[in-house]
Amino acid sequence: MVFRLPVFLLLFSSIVACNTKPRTDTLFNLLPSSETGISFENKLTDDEDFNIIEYLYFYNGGGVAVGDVNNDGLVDIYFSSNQASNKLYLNKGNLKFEDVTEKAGVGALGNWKTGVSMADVNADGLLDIYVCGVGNYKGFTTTNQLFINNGDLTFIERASEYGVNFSGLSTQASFFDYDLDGDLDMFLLNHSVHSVRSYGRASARFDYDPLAGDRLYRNELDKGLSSFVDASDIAGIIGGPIGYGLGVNTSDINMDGYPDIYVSNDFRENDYLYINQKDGTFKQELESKLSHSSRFSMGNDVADFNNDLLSDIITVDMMPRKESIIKASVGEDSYEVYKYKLEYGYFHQVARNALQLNNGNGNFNDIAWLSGVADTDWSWAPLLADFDNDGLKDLFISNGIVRRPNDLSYLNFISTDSAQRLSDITLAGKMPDGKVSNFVFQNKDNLSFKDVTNDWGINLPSYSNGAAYTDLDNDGDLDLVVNNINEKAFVYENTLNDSLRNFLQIKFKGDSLNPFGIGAKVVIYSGAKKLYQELNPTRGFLSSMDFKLTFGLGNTSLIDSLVVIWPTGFYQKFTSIKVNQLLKVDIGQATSFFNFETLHAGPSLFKPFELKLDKPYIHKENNFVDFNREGLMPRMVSTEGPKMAVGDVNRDGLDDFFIGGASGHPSSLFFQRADGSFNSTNESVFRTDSVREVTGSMFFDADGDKDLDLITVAGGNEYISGIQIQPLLYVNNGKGEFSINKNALPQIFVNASCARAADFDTDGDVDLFIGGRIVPNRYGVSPPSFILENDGKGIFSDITKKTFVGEENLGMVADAAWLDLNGDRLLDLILVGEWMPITILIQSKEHVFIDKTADWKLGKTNGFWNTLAVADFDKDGDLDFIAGNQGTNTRLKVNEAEPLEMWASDFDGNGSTEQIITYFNQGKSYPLASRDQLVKQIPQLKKKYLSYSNYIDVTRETILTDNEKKKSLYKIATTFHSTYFENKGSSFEMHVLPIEAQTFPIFAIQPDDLNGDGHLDFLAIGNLFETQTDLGRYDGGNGIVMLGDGKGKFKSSPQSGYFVPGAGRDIKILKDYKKRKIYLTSRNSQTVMSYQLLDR
Amino acid sequence: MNRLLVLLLVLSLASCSKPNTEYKVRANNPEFLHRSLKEITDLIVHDIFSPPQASRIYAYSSIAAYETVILGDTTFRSLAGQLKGLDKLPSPESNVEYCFPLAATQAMLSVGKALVFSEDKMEGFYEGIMKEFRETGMPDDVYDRSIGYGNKVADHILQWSSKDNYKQSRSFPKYSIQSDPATWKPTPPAYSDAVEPHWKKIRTFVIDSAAQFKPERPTPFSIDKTSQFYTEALEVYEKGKNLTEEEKAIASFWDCNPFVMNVRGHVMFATKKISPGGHWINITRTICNNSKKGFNESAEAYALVSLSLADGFISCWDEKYRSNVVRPETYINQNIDENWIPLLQTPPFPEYTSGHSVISNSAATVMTKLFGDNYAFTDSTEVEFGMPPRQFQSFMQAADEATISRMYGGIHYMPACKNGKVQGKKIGEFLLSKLNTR
Repeated sequence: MVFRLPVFLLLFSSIVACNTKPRTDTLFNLLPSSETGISFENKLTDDEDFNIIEYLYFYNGGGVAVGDVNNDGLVDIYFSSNQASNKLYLNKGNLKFEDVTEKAGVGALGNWKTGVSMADVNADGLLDIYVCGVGNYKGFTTTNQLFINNGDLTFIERASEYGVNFSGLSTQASFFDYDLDGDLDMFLLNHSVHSVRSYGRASARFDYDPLAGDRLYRNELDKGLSSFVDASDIAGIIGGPIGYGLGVNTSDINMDGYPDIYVSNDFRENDYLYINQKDGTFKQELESKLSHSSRFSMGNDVADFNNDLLSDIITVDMMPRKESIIKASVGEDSYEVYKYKLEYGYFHQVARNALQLNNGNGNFNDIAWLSGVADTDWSWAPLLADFDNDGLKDLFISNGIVRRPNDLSYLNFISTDSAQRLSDITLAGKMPDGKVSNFVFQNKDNLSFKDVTNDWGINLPSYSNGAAYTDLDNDGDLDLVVNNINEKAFVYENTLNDSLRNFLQIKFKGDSLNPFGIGAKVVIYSGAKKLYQELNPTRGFLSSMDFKLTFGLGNTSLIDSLVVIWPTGFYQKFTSIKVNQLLKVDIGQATSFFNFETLHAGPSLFKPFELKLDKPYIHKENNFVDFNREGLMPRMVSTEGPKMAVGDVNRDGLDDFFIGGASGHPSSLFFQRADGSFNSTNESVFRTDSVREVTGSMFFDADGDKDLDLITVAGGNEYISGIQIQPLLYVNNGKGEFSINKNALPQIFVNASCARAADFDTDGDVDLFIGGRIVPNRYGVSPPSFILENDGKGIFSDITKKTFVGEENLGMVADAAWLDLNGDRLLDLILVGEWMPITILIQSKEHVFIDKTADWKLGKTNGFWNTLAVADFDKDGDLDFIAGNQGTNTRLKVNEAEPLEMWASDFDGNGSTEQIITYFNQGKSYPLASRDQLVKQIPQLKKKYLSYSNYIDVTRETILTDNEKKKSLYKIATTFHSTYFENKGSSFEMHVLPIEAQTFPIFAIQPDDLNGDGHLDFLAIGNLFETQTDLGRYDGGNGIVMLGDGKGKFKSSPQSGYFVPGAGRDIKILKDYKKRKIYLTSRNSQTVMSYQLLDR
Repeated sequence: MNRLLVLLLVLSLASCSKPNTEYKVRANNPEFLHRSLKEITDLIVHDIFSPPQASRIYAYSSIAAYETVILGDTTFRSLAGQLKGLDKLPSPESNVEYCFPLAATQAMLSVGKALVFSEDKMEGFYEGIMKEFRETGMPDDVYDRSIGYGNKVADHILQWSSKDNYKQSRSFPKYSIQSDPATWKPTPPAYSDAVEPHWKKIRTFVIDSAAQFKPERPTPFSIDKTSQFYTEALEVYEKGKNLTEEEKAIASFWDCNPFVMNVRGHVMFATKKISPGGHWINITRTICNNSKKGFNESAEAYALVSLSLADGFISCWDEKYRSNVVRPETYINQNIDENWIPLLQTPPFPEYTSGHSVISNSAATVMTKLFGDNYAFTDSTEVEFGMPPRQFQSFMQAADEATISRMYGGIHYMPACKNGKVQGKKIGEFLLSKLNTR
């Protein structure tokens, strides 16, 4: 044994010795019941009256509560059983347990029991047990039960005496001190059982439901009373009939000293995030703090997984990982129906796990896809805990359902005539099995998790529900206990044995009303490392954890300092703490009050700037749904505005700005006045072409009269041809009054993305590049891009054919930049776009553009690029660029070996283009579309894929014939990383941007030296909400600041103060009347946000 | 059963005798036709075709049978030249023998098989019925020739059908949900996409254009409690709450929703039924049997009734997506009672006019012409879906009941029923005035 045994380990010194059984080579070792003595099994029997069809939570299983009920230093285990007796196992040491249920009197009565929690409710220093159940329903008489610990391994049920003998549809209770009066109050999570026939108004949640509504009970112990009172109403707890509550966590999520509450709700109801208002009330603020939540939210956990001292949230759902199960399961609503259901008042929800990363400013972003934990099938308990003691919290997820009611083939079967005469129980019996392995992910730092289910040895298929981690054998690592349906509970011994994996355990002695110290927080500082945990035992699903905290410390041998912050607000600090010990902390030694503001610094770079507009501006997107025309597109391309242009157009020495309008909404041009306010101008001219969706714009002097003219290009994927998609030139009369010159530009109908002006032919006037973005009705087909040559007087002619030899269709261009790459003083072009590589067009002396992408080593950069920004980031004298891509926070994982592929053709000969997109999942490539999506677009395939089972095994090889592939347009994407491209003289070297820049699609990048260190930094914004619903909204970004070191390295500056929620589209720097830099930030369907740098 | 036994007996006797014309009598059995179309109906139900799609399948398969079988009977006239885009059918060879009922059955089943999805499911039935044809004692060459000719007609009909814009319409844009409260919204529990928003672009069979029988304008939308619209919604609501047992029976009998979604716990599954058109096809079979109509006359009845259905749906769907009227369930839940649920499940397309009203009246008009007014009959076609038979004094009475059933069922306001009835009758009358089958 390598642990240096500390003095504090007296209690378990004998146990720690290495005389246990031979180690397996996996981290976890499943202990047989014959060794542990734990034979508990949650055995279920369904019958005609009570089964999965009659009670939709029939297979939710039971919970696990762990805690030392006899204060002998060994953690005991309590299991809940749905239908049979609950069990209490006393830890006898050496991983041997004794069933003491009967003696202890904690079997618990009732027809159906659910979650369980331990807490010292009466503050006598002994852990009590609270058991939830289902009563007052289908003849069930179960009441929730409170087993008060007598201290002699017997308990007495006293729920009614304490006023917590609720009888209804309870899931679980969590004990916490929400009003900081010292005693433990109780949040009771209940669940609705309504069939989800219709989407009633969401406001029904504010009705009162005596059985299904959640409750908050205030403990009156502080007044000397052994009772609870229902404080739900006064505290603002939602107690309505649509709360399908499956998970509760009472934690100080915003770190202000007052515990908050996260409730995960199944089905249509939103999750709830209650923020403690510090006055005995809560405010439910989920919708303003999250971008979306899980949809069928089950259990949850709240913990700081990235060691930034901010609590993150994970909720689990039922997104399968195996392709065959994805294809066999009911999918998401169509985009239109999804949108329609939102109108009932519900929030954005997606049917997959959500890992909500705390941004530190009160907001969260789901990064589950990026982190690799989004899809763990029918999941119940997520538990964030450091299982390998490397200082990073790993993630365990329990998993499995006895019968999958959402299997398409099953639903098809029961829709047949013969099946509808079958009884419930027979029907239920025909549901396919969902016995799958639990998951465990190792935290690899850098916001990433690695699936180590097999490596760590928890890969047995099971129906696992409630679970708890705890150190059963006092050897300093966390073991796992899992409650299974129809199978013995799993007891996994953690076999960690590594001298570089140190630990610290902490046991709390709280004050008289809360002896176990629930709500205490611990912050550990060790070198640059910061670790944080809160003593908050109720976690995961139906279960509660131990009352001692375990910190993994990796190779840290001495902890610099450790702060314990008690729920009362008092704290104590320890320095130079030895590792591998049990540290006992006592509230008696905490004497001063903790200032939570010291934990996190405030904004470091930016503060909001008040943009004074004479007319309020809000971008309005028109209601055009690309998917209604092309159902197989992965994302819409009609919401890519608004883009802006900045310049002094009225020549008063002050910057003005233009912002493009969506179709049906005029663009706007604001003039800055001497007092720094802005006036909307030229309104009538922009009204005349408001049918155009302006997607790109630029100020430049088109006619050589020394004022700024304006070009706008239009897109929107709606119009196929006509004035709606004709670029327009607005000529400035020198005073900032614009008029459209209809003859200035040749007739080129194109859904464009950008106009880029430059004198490429060095004849003294400014010419134009117009980037073609999309061909309506033919997603995937490259539209033409154009070179327009200026005749010197502001009249342009189309010389594309002459200049782009054979390269007229350059791709679905999203952005472009002029720059001289090869030093021949002729401007070259970089193009970025969707399904295309970063494309380099080098200008020859004859002013012909030649594709030199491969020469510049960019041939393998096919991505979903949205934008680029050119600058000399590494200060070596040449121009580098940063390009914004899709990001990796998406279900679609791509690389060179495993690309996203698209074949586009009119497969069924009906005159429209269909796209077959294939993606890799677990090493194999499958069509992305569900069978229903596919046959809706290509009905002839209905005959080929008559049943869902025909479609399950279809791969990229079999979805199309070779012949069909041959005649199709073929495109790929091999990278979704937003990337820094370093100019190496004759080639570009790719440097993937840090992970913080990969959580969302980047639509705009603005380089600037933000921190005044002389090196270029950059801002980036994005998000895209209009995606296929089974991919989900790309909303993982709130704006980022990346600080450069002048050598091409960038580092995220998380607390910068630059905060841009929503669909960011453009950033422009404008100098205000005091010559301060204003960072204008446009967003689709929202206002313009503006920031300025903090005074330095 | 008995009939088959007799057939077999006769067959074994007949096979001994030399010149065999007996088979002609046996093959000329309308049951072959009835059973074939019923098989197509079952597959339409199984594959969950929407009511307009189902009417299209009925029309092409019925016309295939009619056009084939009448070649053996000069009293009937071809519809080629009378139906839009239908050119003269390929002629059979002269001076050789055909069994036209067999050819007609073959043509109907071939067309039906091509238009449904689950074609494999038809195989057992097809083999069975063809075995029966063979067992009539038909000479092999006649059999083969008739099959061949049936296939030729089927190809011709399918070729014709391929130009009706159906295939193109598969890629037309989906219905865009609009925020205007007057417009149709998806309805619980399935919140399905709107069915066939571009059905008006399908080539009509007889009527000049989809919009030829544009009904009276619907009641202007309003949420004002004193408005006509509100009053009409309130009528549906009040009726729905006070339905008599008889009214409930009527509503359920004429439900004819091919895809009713049921929700139980996590489980959402469908109940499949015949479409409104399927119901009238079944009535047609019943009446042909009651009237002891032969193969040819039955084929004529199917052809005309199915045409009245197909054009009825095109006309009705044209109006549905012209006016885009919101369903009572949506309106009542928003403005009268948020918990109200109609007796019938609201089908996924706009309200005005009622499809069942339109096609029941177009079909009944045609049937009245074919079989006479005041033709009393018992309709047992819903027995297989668990509903008792109902008696009617006439086709128009049945159509009236189907019409009002939609209001009882809580899925239509009164004007959609009333004006739909007018629309349907006009279509039926127009068809009769245009088409000449004798």
